[in-house]
Amino acid sequence: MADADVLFTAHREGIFRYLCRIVGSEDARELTQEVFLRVTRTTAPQTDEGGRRAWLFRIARNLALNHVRDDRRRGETVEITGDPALPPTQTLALALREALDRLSPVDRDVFLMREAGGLTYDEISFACQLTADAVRSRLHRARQQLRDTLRTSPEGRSDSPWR
Amino acid sequence: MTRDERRASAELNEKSCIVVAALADGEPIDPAALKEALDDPGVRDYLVDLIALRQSVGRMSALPSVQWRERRSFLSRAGWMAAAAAVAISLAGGYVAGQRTVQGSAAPSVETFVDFDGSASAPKPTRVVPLRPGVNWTEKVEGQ
Repeated sequence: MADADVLFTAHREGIFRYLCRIVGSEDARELTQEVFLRVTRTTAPQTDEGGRRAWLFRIARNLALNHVRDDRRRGETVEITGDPALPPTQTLALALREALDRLSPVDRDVFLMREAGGLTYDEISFACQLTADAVRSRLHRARQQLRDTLRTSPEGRSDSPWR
Repeated sequence: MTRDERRASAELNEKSCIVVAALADGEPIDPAALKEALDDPGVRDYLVDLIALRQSVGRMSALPSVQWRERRSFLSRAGWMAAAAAVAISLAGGYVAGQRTVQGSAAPSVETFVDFDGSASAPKPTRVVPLRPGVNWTEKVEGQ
């Protein structure tokens, strides 16, 4: 239990940020709780801090995948449309979310674990069960794709916050 | 530039991008490879875009996916509203049907009077059958 407390204090924000980009903030709160609930029911691996973080993100990733799959079964699709009335930063955030949705699930997970969760390549490698080279390659592909999408979108023009 | 040269260039570019990405991600890097990568203006642009992308992702945390939530909460609200509408319609329908039934077949207004003043008496018998021992009083008389 003390283990779970320590892990919760150290990683709840990273886990929440990562989940937030996948399932939205409301469900991310519930899923973050679920992650740590599962941690209390099991024994954390006896490894270094990075290994534990990677283990937590693997749990979070599995829960997020289940959640997205269940949402699709229920027919609750995510539809995001640009709204010209939104402030530029929010418009860009929506454009980015759309661009993230267009990534393959694994590329998106790799990217979000790095950018939202702050995981190292080795940790992502463990969490997503990929080789380190595959992580580098997928990360590059995701970034390239997002960069291209944002550059060609209206929000990515020279007068936007992106440039 | 031939196709092979273009492919080699693109490959070099990807390798260089991965090197500068590792720099931005705080991963171990080979300084010589980094120097070589940063010589390429395209790779420098990539590094700048990578930082901009990171900042944009950081801003996303401050901006929850509003429309996503609104859509979801709309679905949730719509469910409750549909349930409430169904109840309201069934109540209104029941009321109207009840009104029509009452108007179509109104109960007749029958008034019943009961006289309890004690003045009324039982009618007089038209025939008296006396009880005689040994006589079958159930025996039928002709014509009756």
